[in-house]
Amino acid sequence: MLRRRDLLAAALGLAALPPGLRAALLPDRLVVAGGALTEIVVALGCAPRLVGVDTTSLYPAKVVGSLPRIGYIRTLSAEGILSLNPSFLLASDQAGPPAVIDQLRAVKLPLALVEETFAADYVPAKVMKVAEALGQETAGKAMAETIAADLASVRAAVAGLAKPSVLFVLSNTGDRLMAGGQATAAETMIGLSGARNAIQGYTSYKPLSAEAALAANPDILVFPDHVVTALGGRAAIANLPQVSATRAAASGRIVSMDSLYLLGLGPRIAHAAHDFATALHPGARLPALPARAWTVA
Amino acid sequence: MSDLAIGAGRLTSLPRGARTGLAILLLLAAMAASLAIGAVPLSLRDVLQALMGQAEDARQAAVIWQLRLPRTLMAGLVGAGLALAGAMTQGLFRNPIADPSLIGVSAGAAVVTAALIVFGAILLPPGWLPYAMPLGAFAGSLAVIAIVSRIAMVEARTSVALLLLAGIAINALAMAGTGLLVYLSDDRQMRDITFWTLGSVGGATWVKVWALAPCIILPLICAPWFARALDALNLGEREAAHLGFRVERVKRLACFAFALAVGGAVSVSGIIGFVGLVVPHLVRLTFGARHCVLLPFSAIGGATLLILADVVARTIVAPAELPIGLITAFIGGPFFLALLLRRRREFAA
Repeated sequence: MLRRRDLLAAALGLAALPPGLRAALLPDRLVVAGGALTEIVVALGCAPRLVGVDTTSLYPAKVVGSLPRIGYIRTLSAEGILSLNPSFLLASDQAGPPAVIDQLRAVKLPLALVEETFAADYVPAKVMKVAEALGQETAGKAMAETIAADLASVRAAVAGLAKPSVLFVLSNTGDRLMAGGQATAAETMIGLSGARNAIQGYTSYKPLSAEAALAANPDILVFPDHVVTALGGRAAIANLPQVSATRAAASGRIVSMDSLYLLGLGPRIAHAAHDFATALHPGARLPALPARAWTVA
Repeated sequence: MSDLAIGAGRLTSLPRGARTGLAILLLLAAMAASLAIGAVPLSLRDVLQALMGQAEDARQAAVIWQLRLPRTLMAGLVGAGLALAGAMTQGLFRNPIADPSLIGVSAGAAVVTAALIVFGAILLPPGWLPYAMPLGAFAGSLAVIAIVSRIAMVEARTSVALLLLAGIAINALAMAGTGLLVYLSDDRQMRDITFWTLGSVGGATWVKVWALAPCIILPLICAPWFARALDALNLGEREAAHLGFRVERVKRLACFAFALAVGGAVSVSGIIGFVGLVVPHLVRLTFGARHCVLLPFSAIGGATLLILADVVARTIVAPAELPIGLITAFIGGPFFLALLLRRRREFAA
């Protein structure tokens, strides 16, 4: 749901105005809270308008690397954001704390909260919402349609393949592995890539026990790159007591990916799903997706 | 003799009015700093104009009126409440290390708040949560203090060892409860709980200031009345009873006042450790231990400390901000240790 306020309401009415006048009235100093939203903003060509992003906005590094950081998305500071003299705040509905959003409304900063969901097919809609907020409907529509088409081709490519069961480990704290259950970005990407989540019965990420791993007995284990490094490589992972008894460890099928790319649920979702599917189905030949403006930045 | 101790000696030798004036002046200076310093650069003139309602820029006025002023007041109220509660528990239990967090009162408030973060959206009608959290935190802290003081009471006397051990047990229980809630929570709720336990006054709004004010001001108004009873309690409960104080009633009322202050403070700001333990000791070391001095000066000192800590918290990594609990610990911990080291002979007696 997009809450349109002040400028936003005006922005929709602006569609009727001549382009030059319209550009002058659009928000020119943007602060964005949410990694996927920042990617969309940049893809829509609005990077020059960015004056600050949150710490979950890490891509494209070229653009966001030099921008002021307003802190972690759940612990924003009203005055910190205002110190960047923004004319508009575009934030995920995960942004908070709620009191800070209330404060920003109280000081009448125009802002839009964009809903986040775990549905892959919601990404094109998310692009449209950002585009509307920024007055970039035409570019947004083209981008949303392209992403929807790319998602469809990934789905078509994996449709006929056997679905391996996949256990996704998000992170390790000490020797505890946090495995992804239902209602996670990991499950969305597993499903999109023609596989099934080996973990059933809980939501979010929870510590994995050796017994639960054995009961799930996945064909493939997936770890983020940085966790593979932290745990000392694939061979070391296969020997971890939590997973060593599983089919995946026995056959050495351990896949690693950049977690930001894989779990971002942003404009790069179809390409991430394609790369993930290629890793999960080593025998299959999946047609490559054409590079897009937002995947090569 | 160290500078600090000399300074302290001079302070104690000042007349009472001068000391009060000095403390209040410090508090006012901290409040002024808190209004003038922040991520948005404002000159003193801008601040004064905004306060008088003559700001040239609407956003400048909003920064002062909607952000810095409620934030300053809330930090001051929370700091005063925590320090006052600390001073009262230390007097009540005749134990220098009694502190809201040590005997589990903060943890009791935390577990209720965590439960509301996780289940509030399901259990309560939308919009009730901001009001339910202070009430819940108050109920949680009241329940813990009631349980702990009941357990610690043996033959009409409060056993300090029992009190601390019961506090440790309650702390462990409440932590386990919070842990269970973290386990049940989704990603977002988990992060909220984590950051809540680090403390912040960043979410200050006028609604919260109004909701918090009675929780802190009521105990503060009653402080002079408690002061004499707490002085008498220092001699021992029987002795206080012989002096004509109705010890049980004083204890019960003090516990209630204390839970009100801690519950109110914790519910709006999360867990801010250290203030309740250290500020009363600083006051004792510099102004003396009589409760009629200790209670009000602890409140003023706590308010000053927390307002200054908040100024640091919101400027040091601007435009982001640090949890204030980290600042209070980083500023106060070493300062307190230094003070203890320099005056430790007095503790040997």
